[in-house]
Amino acid sequence: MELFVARLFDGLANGSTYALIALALVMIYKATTLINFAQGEMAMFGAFIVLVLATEQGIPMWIAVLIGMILSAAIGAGIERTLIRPFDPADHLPLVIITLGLFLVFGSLAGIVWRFDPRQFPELFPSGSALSFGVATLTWYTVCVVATVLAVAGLLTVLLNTTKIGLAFRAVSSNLESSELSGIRVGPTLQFGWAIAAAVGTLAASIYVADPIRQLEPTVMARVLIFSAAAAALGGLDSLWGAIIGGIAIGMVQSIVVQYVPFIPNEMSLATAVVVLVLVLVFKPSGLFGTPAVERV
Amino acid sequence: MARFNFIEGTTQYRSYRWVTWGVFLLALLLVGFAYADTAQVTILDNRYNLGLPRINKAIAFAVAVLGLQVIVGYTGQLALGQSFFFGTGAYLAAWLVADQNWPWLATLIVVVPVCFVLGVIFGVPALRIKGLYLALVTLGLAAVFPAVVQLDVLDEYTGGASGKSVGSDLLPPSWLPLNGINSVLQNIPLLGQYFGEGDLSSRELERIWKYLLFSILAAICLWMVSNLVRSRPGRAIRAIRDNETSAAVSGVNLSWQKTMSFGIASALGGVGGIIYVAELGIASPGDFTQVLAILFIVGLVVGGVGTLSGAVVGGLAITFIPEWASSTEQFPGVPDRWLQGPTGTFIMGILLIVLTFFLPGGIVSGARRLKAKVVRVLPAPPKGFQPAGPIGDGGDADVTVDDEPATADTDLAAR
Amino acid sequence: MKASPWKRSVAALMAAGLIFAACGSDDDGDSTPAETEAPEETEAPEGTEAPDGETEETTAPEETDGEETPDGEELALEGEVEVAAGTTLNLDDCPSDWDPFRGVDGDEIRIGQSLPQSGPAAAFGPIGEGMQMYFDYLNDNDPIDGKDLVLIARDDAYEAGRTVANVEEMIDTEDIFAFAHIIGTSNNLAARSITDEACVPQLFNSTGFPLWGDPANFPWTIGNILNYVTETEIWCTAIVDEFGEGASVAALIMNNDFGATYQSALEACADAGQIELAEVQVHDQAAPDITNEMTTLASSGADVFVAGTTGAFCPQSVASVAATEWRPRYYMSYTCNNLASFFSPVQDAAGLLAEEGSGVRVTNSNKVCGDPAYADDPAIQLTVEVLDEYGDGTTCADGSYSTGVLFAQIVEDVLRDAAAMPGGLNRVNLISAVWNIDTTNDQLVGDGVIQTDGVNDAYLTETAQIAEVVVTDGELTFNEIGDVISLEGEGGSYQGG
Repeated sequence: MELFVARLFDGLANGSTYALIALALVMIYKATTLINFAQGEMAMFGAFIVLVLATEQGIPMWIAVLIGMILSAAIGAGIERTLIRPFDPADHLPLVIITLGLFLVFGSLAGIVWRFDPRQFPELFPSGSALSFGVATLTWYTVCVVATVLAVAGLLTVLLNTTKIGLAFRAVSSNLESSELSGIRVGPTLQFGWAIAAAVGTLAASIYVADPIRQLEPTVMARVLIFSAAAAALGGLDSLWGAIIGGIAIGMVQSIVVQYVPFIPNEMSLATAVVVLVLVLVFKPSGLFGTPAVERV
Repeated sequence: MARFNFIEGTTQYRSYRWVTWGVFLLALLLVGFAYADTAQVTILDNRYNLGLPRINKAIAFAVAVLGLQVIVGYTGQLALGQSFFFGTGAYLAAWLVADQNWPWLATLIVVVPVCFVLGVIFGVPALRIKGLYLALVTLGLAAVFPAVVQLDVLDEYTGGASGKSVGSDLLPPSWLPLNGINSVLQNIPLLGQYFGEGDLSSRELERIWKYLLFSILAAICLWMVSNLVRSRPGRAIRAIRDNETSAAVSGVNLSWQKTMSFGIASALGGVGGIIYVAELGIASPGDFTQVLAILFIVGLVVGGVGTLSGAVVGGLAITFIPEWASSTEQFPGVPDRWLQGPTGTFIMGILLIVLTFFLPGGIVSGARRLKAKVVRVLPAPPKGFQPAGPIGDGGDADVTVDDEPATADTDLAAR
Repeated sequence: MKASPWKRSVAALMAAGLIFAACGSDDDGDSTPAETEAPEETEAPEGTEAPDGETEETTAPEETDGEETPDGEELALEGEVEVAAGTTLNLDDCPSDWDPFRGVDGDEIRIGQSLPQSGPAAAFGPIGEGMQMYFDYLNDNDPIDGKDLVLIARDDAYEAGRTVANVEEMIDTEDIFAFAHIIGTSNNLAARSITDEACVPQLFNSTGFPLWGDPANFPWTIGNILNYVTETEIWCTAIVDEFGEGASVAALIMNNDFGATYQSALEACADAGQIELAEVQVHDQAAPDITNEMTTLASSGADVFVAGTTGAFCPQSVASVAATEWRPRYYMSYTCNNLASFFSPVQDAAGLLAEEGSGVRVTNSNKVCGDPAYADDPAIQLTVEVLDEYGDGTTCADGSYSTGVLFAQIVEDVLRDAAAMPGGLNRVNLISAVWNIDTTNDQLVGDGVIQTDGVNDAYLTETAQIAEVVVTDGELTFNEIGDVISLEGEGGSYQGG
């Protein structure tokens, strides 16, 4: 029983992190209906920037994170302006290829600049456990991560639903041509989406590696990306709250299903997550909470 | 007008085709003999190698990318898990040859149907899952391949974590006068020195033989896919790519065509895997990860989506770019330290971005544009055609026809 | 159908390739006939028994049995040559263009290496750089046989496919005398079939797989220091000493060749009744983290925890255990013994565990550079100097460079041994030297003995010191536990399929 609860907490902890990155993926998808394959690597790059600011410049942690987020937002906006905007948003293939290229570029750049040794990331949340029975400990870290995810999702929802720019964003993601005709400047709106997504990504990566159990190194996000992408897809690529549900679900599948279903060996946790994803998508092709695509000829 | 203009059906045109094919095949053959022993070029103090082992590996990759061309380029389905089938083909072939003592070519009989069926099976859920969701799921598939292969229950077949090694004994038959050809080549004035001296060693003989076998196998695959594309199912899948709903409305059986495409693409992936393991002698789990899946996509795009020659170009690119990048240990103006580490990946990333801007149809589209400046093939005018009125003068053509749009941005539409 | 453009572009590529070849040098013509080999071989050619018929191949025609030196008989360079106990080289099976002096016939000794400089195992890339630094130091201070020692290292991103291509190309174009310290089990396995057929020495395979101690079947290949089976046996011995038989063990195993070796060795230990495997968690090599696995392992409450994993997962496991209340006896794979790389990120956790009686224990066979306990050790000081001077200010804390220095020293030892043999530096002598090593290296613990004896003792070292990671005065260091354990000579050679 203790182990079950412990695994439950683990699932919650992992799942929240997947959810946080999935939120960034969803933001981009909502704006552009494409997946930014580079999201994880950009986030990792941002986390390195935060690390450099905190350790070499001696800036207090949360300020460093904030500066890192702002810098990442700038990078994200810059990428949109230079690499994404020249292309017709309806034509997906070139854009997917560009994000794939960015994935390779950011990943290798981090490896070239900072090498591959793991580095300790300063803590962001108080350590220690909030609750424990026996082996099962719910650490403050987990609690804070869940809180952050909910807060970010909440903020994003408020942003999208009550501000002018949020409205523009929703218009653009719902119907591009009509928005242009209505006078919305699509380019800057998308740029805003990219900037927010980049900032959220950096926050997510920083939180992920701030866990005392983990360290920062260039391959850290690439391994998480596939789980986060699965989480986003599971919840529906254009649903923010779906991303959270999806994230928790994937986290739980990893920790509970793999442990308690006897014939699934541990190293198949990713495989299990993929199978779950396939099953859900077969029955709900746009994810649990995503808007189904309507085809018009 | 281009420098040379040919009208289809004329003898000129036929000679042109014979000559170009001849030159190409000759070049292919020469490459085999010239690079049987790896050549090395030194540029800016960096030593770059070009040899048959890697060329053979590029052929394996080219066949896999060809599979991707079928499913992504021609059918428009974002199925990115090709490395899964590549790995399956490799392991299956390795097991058959190492444990069951089959000859290499016989493994085709098993690998092709198995990978085809696997592809169809995975294609079934793909009927429901579309677009980027499909892309993610298939990438996930690619990511789990190493774990699957290392499952304890499969250990005796796959060699587990150390991989399955196969003594790849592909020796040329004695009736093939490889040495004879080599000596003839060595006697060519001026170029002869690049074919080495003396007889071919057994290692070189084996490499040339493998190169010839693999090239023929790849050529057969290319020929089959080219036939497929020009056939009725080929038009059907391209219709699906361009607009699924219209295709369905026009009578294309979506489920059938899509699953068949998946099957064919996976079968090609499996064939690529056979070539890979026949050349390298080992199938190890770390070689078939999602990194390889992404690499195949890079090859697809760099070569040119929706083209056949793009598969070959792409295969060569993804084999040699990482290699030559890591051979670049110094470059004027760049600190040495920056050249250690994943420079190949970095270059490929930049290449993807640059190509998307300047050459979205990949290298092949750029090559075609260049070629269009030199050679143009015009369809034959219908019988009894009389040109009406004055015709702008331009070289040898006596008809004005609408040519292929020289500014097609993507080759997706060019078919 | 536009087959023409396809042909043309590929033809253009091929043409480019031919031009490429035109600028390049084909290997056969590479060896300059002007450079003769080592001075010992100035004997006039007595019936030149050059093993190959190609005249352009040879550097000097006298590759024959030279003069007999009083030190003993020179080893033949053709036919069957017994180089060590139970170890025979069949030189007639070698390719027709084989040359025992390839790579040392000029003024260089060319050593080839294929290792991960990118990709999942890139953290081990600096080993190659460290080796080069030490080679540079040697060339400046005490050159072997008067020649420049050169390391040609190529990236294989830990992929066996690229290792194969690298090895083949290096044999073809780089005039390699021998390969050293290729990393990875499947990588070395793949390379072995090539080097065995090409009769090229493949030395010190950097993977703890016991497979390489098989001189009877694969004389051209030998493994490196401490293999994982021996390491696990040392753990077992220590566990039994501490807990008696049947102690419960929880193990974290990485899902690859590396981890699988630990797992099977642990299972062998359990089968012999020495331990009881309470819980084994295998984790994916590409897993983002191991929290799930660690939770399960912690809940087992076993007496002992064994971390048969490497890379980023080492510090993760340390931090995980520290975060729980579980305080087992903790053994970790020695591949993570680099304090700077793997322990400094989790210094506090490691310190906590040490204080609470669960300090991380590692079987070190080498003195770890960066450990303050060895700050005054001359061998370590040499390493620090070499890194600093030849690495532009690199320090031991920067990564696995120091490991490269150690590896390079072992290469140096066998090269010197071979050069001192009658006939001088050639591949046959090198293999003989490799299977008859009897030397010491001061970077190793204990008496630092490195010894092999053909099939009787096919492993370089079987000596280790168990040491615990502690934090003293704010610095990470090792505390030795017990005596140096030596299983020297007990390894025999590899038995098994």
